[in-house]
Amino acid sequence: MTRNFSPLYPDCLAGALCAFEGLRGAQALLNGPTGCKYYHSYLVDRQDPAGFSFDPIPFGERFYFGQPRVPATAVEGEDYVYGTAGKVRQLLEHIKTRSQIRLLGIVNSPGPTLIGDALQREAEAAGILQPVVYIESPGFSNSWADGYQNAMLEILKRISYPPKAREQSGSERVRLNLLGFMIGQHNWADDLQEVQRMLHLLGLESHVNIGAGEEVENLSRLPGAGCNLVLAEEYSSRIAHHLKERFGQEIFGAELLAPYGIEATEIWGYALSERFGLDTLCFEKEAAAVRRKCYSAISRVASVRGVPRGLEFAIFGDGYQVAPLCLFLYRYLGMYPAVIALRECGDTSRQFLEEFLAGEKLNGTIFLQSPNAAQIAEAFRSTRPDIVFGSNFEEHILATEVPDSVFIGTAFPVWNRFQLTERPLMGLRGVLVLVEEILNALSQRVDLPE
Amino acid sequence: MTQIAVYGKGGIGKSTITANLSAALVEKGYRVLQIGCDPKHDSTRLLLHGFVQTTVLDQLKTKPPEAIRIDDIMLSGYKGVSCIEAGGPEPGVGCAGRGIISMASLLERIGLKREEFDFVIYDVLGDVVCGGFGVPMRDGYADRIFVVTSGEMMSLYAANNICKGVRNAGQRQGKLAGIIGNSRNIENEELLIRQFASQVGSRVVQFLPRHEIFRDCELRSQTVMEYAPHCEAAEWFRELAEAVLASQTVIPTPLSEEELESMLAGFYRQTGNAKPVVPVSPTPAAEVSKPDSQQLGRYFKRPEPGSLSAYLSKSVRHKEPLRSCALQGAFNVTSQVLDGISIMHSSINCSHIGFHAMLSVSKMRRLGEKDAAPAIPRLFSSNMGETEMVFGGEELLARCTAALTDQLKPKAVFLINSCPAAIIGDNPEKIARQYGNPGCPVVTVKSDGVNEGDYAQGMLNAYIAVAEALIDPTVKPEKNLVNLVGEKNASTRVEKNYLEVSRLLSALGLQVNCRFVRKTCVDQIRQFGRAPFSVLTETDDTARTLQQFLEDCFSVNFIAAAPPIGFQETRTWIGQVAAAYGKQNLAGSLTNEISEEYGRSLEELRPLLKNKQVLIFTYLQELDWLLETVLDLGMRVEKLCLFNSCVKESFSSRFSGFPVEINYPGPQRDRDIEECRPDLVLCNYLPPRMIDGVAYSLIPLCPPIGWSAGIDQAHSWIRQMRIPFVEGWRYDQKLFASLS
Repeated sequence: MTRNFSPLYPDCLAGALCAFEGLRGAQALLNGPTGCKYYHSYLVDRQDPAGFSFDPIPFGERFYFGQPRVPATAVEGEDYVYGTAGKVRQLLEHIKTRSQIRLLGIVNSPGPTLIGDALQREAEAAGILQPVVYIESPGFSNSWADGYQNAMLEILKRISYPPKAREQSGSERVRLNLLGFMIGQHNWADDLQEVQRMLHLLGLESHVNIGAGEEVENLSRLPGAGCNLVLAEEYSSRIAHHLKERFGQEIFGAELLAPYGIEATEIWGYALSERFGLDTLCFEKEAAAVRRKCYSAISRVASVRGVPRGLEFAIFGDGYQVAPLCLFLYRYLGMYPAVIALRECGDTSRQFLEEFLAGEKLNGTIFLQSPNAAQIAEAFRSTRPDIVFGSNFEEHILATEVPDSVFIGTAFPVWNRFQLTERPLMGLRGVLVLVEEILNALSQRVDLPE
Repeated sequence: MTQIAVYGKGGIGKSTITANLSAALVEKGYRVLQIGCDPKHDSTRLLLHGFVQTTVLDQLKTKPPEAIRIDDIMLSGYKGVSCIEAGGPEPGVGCAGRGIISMASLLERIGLKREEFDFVIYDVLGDVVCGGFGVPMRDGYADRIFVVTSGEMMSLYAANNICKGVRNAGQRQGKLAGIIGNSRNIENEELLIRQFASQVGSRVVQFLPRHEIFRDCELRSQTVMEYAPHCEAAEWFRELAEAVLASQTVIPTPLSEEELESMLAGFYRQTGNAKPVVPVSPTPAAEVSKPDSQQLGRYFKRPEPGSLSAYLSKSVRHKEPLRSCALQGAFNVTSQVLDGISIMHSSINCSHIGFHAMLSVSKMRRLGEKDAAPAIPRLFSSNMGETEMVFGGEELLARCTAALTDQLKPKAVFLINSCPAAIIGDNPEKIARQYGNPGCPVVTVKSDGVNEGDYAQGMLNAYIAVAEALIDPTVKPEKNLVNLVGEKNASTRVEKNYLEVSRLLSALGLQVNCRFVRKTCVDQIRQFGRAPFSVLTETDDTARTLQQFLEDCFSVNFIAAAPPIGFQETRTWIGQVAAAYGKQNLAGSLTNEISEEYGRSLEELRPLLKNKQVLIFTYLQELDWLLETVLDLGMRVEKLCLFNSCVKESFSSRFSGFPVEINYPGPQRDRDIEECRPDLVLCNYLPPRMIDGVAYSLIPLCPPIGWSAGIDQAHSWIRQMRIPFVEGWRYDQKLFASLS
């Protein structure tokens, strides 16, 4: 738990709600005041739009309060004395008529968590037919990855798995469950699609994607995969161990860097092909094509303006993303890490970053863990990075502290831009997007040579 | 594995009975785990020969859950009875019920294998059967619940309450396995307890008479089973163990208070007890009289001006659903004191929401004014965690306040309490007194999350707290200065409106003294009194209530006119402001100029809009600035439909002659548009489905200040009528048929 008194990033409650709202057919119900509802309703809709309008009229005052997602009981002061049971039951009775909802998650906000109302009793009394998962205590001030994993583990425990452990399918390909995506991550849908495409390129098949965009029903097919592929350790380590314990499935990828940037992506692809004895020809060909395209673009900029080599960057995000991106920016593009700041960080990424900084003797790099706004501002003031990778939060601080620096959105939230075209940051296509973003961003820097 | 919970009033002998029951079961060869669920953590003392073990919550206080091992919290007592104590906070702080929930959750998390035991016995305090102390009753915990009681009235009262809790907890299956009587030497006590048991649908599984041996065992910190295994009392516990093994569960039928009193009264009548402890019959209603108003006046008084309860938001006044919470509303105000800091005593979640709302990058970008709020909202969170929820968080808040005050040297600190902090009873006033000083007052804002009310109530409470703490009442008024009061910080238009008000004031030779409370600082608020007059920039309920407070408590003079929104209001406002400051000479030319401009605009627009039919749907309850232009242009208002507003008490207008529907039901909107088919629909949000032939235009939720407010809108209506009524993309709504 961080104790830096900074409210820069959301906590475990948001993570728990994202776990439900990221599953197609599932709905999160919040047992809490509307003060806890509005932001989360906005968050899940912004990260994973499901409706077609933001007109508040169809989403009445009661439960929805003008927003389409995360209906809430609207707990008030007296409910903390007399209990929230009545309101929970009213909401459940309203919801149970909605046949398109196939899994309900009732999540307590911090206040109701304290008073300990028995949610299960209310669901039973309301005659809810759908499976219900109860998150009576999502935690207080814990990380949102933790909140997400806790809720997802409860969901997985609630799923009925068919007795037959392995599925038959016409495909000869090895099937992998994907672990680590959640809707709170920036650009999750494009990254997911790119990972699935790369697996196909390698001769593998994506089976069930646990965290984001998957149909609830598909979770029962989890045992049918040969292996669980971990892509973001912070969001999947405990889930992977749960599945290993329950279905005896192998965990793969936890010790690899996630496929961001060309080097980490190639290592990731070859490790997969080696593990499953696959031909890498298609993957190699595409990787070479990506390298050619990048070379062609970078060489033109580099020969005239000398950049991106030597530019200083600051990067903010979770370890699974920051570690491979640092490798890419430093080793492939020759940029210097002025600031590395982590929110969540798993063991693999942490170890890599520590070894990377020590091995490359990058003593001047400011390394921050769960920084607060003042620390970020100070880091910007003291390093004045040329280019910053992160979220709108860092972007805003950057605009105040180093207005001539450029920003590339890579971490949650990036809510001031709409992106309709597929622009993954992961995988081989992600390499092209990153290089494109960096070169275009540099063109805004008037102080650099023309 | 059988799980048992033993409940009873504090001090009734639960722990002695439970420890002896555990000992009796272990003697029979069963594997037993006893879990004490009482903050005083002495349930297992007799089994551990007086050894005070480290409680689960003590561990949680010092270690992260993942670092706690089962052997940190579990000891082996008499004949191998495994012993765990939940523990809890000191009396008067934190939340003991939360402690039980935390303990249960930790035992799950560290993987306690309850199924390895034959019996898991929870010894639970039953004076208050709140959610926390009710945990052992729930499914997954105790299958059988025993209630310990004596024949004393309060003990029976507690036992009856516990039965209510058991009934609420297990509606599918009965869980009450029996009543255990523990004598207090009351006459006919066993009979009374048996009668009570029968009334609640259960039976007495054991009655334990008073015995000297209990006191000896207490002194020697041993169970009777160990210290005197051959005495008759030991035999009673062996019988109790047998009874527990053979017990059947029922759904209890707890008594109402009247039934309980009546049962006791009846019992005392029958048994001829000398001193009935309850009235034989309740006082007849006719003999109960209400105190007269003079008496009432002595003990109660209406909220006086200046007390918080005199200034309530609309939703709180009318008990309407609360939008957002007082915590967030309070930060809306305190965030605008730029050299102060706000500390939310909360988990990260609450403060992140506030932080994000104020940062709201997209909103600022849309405005093109990156400095619409402090660059980085000076908001901090005490980051309350599980430990604080159990043991209280005042110490953490004190540390946080001290560290931030030292590090950032703010001119003021605002402490805002969240729901959890309020529930566990943390009192930030104490910290305010401890750390506040004249150079940096620490101001507590009443919010308590949603406990104080909605967002608007939080704003009001914060205005009041800021005013009371910072406004210097001794400051004397100076010429040509004006205060702006009640600017809408959450609006995207607030800075544009400020510029327009400043322009109008400047035209009258006046300057803004203090913006209360918007992009200001502690010294400006202290100097609030320099301005002889203040003006409201909003007319919503919050602004009006704030005006009332400032008039009541600081004798602030307000310009009576409504804010200068629209033609007539702007003229009136200019006239009144000018009169207040003796600037009539400047006002005349300004209002003439405005009248001419307005007239010219109407002439230009009238040919295009005259006789156009308008349907209006809005949350705004003051709309004269818009209606004025609509009617002056000769347009026809088919109907004005007003949704319920949480920020304004009621609709008022100087215009009439068109239908007005108050509390308009939202779902009727599309039907009315379809039936009426007006030329123009004015609304605060565009409906997803638009009708061909009808133009739609948005009414801003925060109206623009200035004489041209309505005219600017009219230009937009003409644009809306010149473009396709339904854009191409809207037809693709059919692709979402399954979602509608």
